Amino acid sequence: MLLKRIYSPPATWPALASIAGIVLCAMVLGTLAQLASPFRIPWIEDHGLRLESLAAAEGIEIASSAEMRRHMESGSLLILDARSAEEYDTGHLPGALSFPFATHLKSFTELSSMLEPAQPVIVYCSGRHCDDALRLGIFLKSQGTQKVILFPGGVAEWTRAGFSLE
Amino acid sequence: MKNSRPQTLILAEWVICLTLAGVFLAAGHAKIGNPAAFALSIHQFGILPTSCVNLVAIYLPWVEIVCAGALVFCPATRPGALWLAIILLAVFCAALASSALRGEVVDCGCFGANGNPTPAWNAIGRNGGLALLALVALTFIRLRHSKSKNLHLD
Repeated sequence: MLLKRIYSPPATWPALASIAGIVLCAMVLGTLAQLASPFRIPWIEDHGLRLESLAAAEGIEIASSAEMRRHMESGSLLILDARSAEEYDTGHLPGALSFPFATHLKSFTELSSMLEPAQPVIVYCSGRHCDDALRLGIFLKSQGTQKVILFPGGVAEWTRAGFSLE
Repeated sequence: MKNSRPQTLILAEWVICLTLAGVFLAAGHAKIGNPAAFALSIHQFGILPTSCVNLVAIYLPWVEIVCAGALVFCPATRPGALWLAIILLAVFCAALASSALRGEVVDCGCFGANGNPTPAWNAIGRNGGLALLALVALTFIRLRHSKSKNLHLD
C-alpha cells in the first residue's frame, strides 16, 4: 500500500529519467576514470584462472584433483583446510586439518609457528570463488614454509571428481 | 505553526538524504581506490558471469557516487536517486543473502575489500535499514508535494 502510494504514475517518469541520467553520468565518469586511473583493471578478465596466475606469481604450485589424490596417498604432505571451522565440520578432504584463514586471523601466527619450514603443505578452500586458500598459502610462504601447493578447485572440484569427503 | 509540519518533513528528508549520500560516497570512494580488490569481492559472490565482473567493479562505485551527489545537490532528481538507492541496496542484500545461504564467508566489499569480512547478515541488516530510510524519505517527499498542491488549491 505504501509502495503504491509512493509509486504513483505522475512521479514515475521523472524518477525513471533521473535514474537513467545518474546511470549515464556514472558510465561517463567510470569510463574516464578507467582510462586515466593508475589503478585501472582490464575491462574483461578471466577470473576463472585468477587463482592460478596469482599463485604462480607467489611461487605457489598448483594441484589438480588427481594430483591431490596422489599427494594424499603418498602421505608426506600436510593438508590444510582454509575454510571456517563450521564448513570444515560439514565435510573436508580426507586427512585435512582445519586452518581457517578468515575467522581466526589472530591465532594464526601461533598456529603457523608450529609448522616446520621443510614440511610441504597443501592448501584448499570451497572452490574457485574463494581465495582463503591462496591467502593462507601466501601467508605460509611468508612465514618460511618452503613448499606450498594450492588446490584451487577445493571442495567443489574434489566432490565433482567423485571423491568422498571425511 | 501551519508551516511547521512541512518544515519538519523537509528537515527529516535532508537528514536522511545526507545520511544515504554519506554512506554511498564512502562506499564508492573506497571501491574506486582499489578496483581489483572490489572485482575480487564481486567474483567471490559467484553470481555474475566472469566477463561482467570487472565492468561492474569499474562502474558500480561511480553509480554510488553520482547517486550520492544527486541526493544532496539536485533536489529535482532526488526521488529518482532514492529509488536507485533502494534498487542498489536490494541487489546488495540479495547477493549477500545468496552467499550467506550457501554458507560462504565472503568479504562483502561494501566499503572496499579490507580483508575483514563483515558477517553477511550484519551487512544485510545495514543495507535493509538504509533502504527503509530511503523509502521513508520518498514518503516525506510525496507528503510534502501533496500538501503544497492542497495549499495551491485552497
